[in-house]
Amino acid sequence: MKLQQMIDQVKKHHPDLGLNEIIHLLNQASDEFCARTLLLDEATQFTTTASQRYYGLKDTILEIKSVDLEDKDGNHVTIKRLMGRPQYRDLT
Amino acid sequence: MAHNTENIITKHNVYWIERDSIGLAEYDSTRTGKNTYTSLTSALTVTLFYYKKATHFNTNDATDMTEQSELPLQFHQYLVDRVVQLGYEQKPEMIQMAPYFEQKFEKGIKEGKMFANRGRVSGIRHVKQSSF
Repeated sequence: MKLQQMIDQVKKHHPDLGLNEIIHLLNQASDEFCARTLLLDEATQFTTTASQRYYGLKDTILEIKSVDLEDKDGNHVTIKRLMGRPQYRDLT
Repeated sequence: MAHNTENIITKHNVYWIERDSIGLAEYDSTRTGKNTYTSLTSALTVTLFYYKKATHFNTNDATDMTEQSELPLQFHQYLVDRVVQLGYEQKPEMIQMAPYFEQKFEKGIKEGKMFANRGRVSGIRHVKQSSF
């Protein structure tokens, strides 16, 4: 369904709602739908930097399912998730 | 009895999530203290697999009205239902309409979870025996 059709349907019930307000509410509904159903998944790649420990995550990521890391032979191997964090912090 | 320790793997790469970031390090069980975890020493490719939110509709002036939600088509109507519900909740005189649209949205959540859990593979189908 195209955005225009969605807006038209909402306007039938709420002709007083502004365009931006409807779009904002649709985005809010979409965020809730995705967070509660975990319907959409994706994979993305990035390259690490030597001695850097932390890499920022995009706001659109809801939950990490798994992580693969390239080994010295160039194979992508699934790595384990650590419960909690290392006892000694390194904020690099 | 002597144990062969040559093949025991003592190093693992690990990740953890902290402050909206992913931490990557090498864990070495033979080390102690702050040397147990060390940062990766070379540039390596990381692949993240994750659940995500759908891309937002643009709210600036040049909104493309032909845009479509990333969600599968059968769930688009439920987003409309949620917005209609929220709209009725803002009107005290029409608030009794809100639960009807809320129920429709909740039905969508249920169907969405089923769709996500099925992994696009159909479940077991029961075949009933019948005599002709």
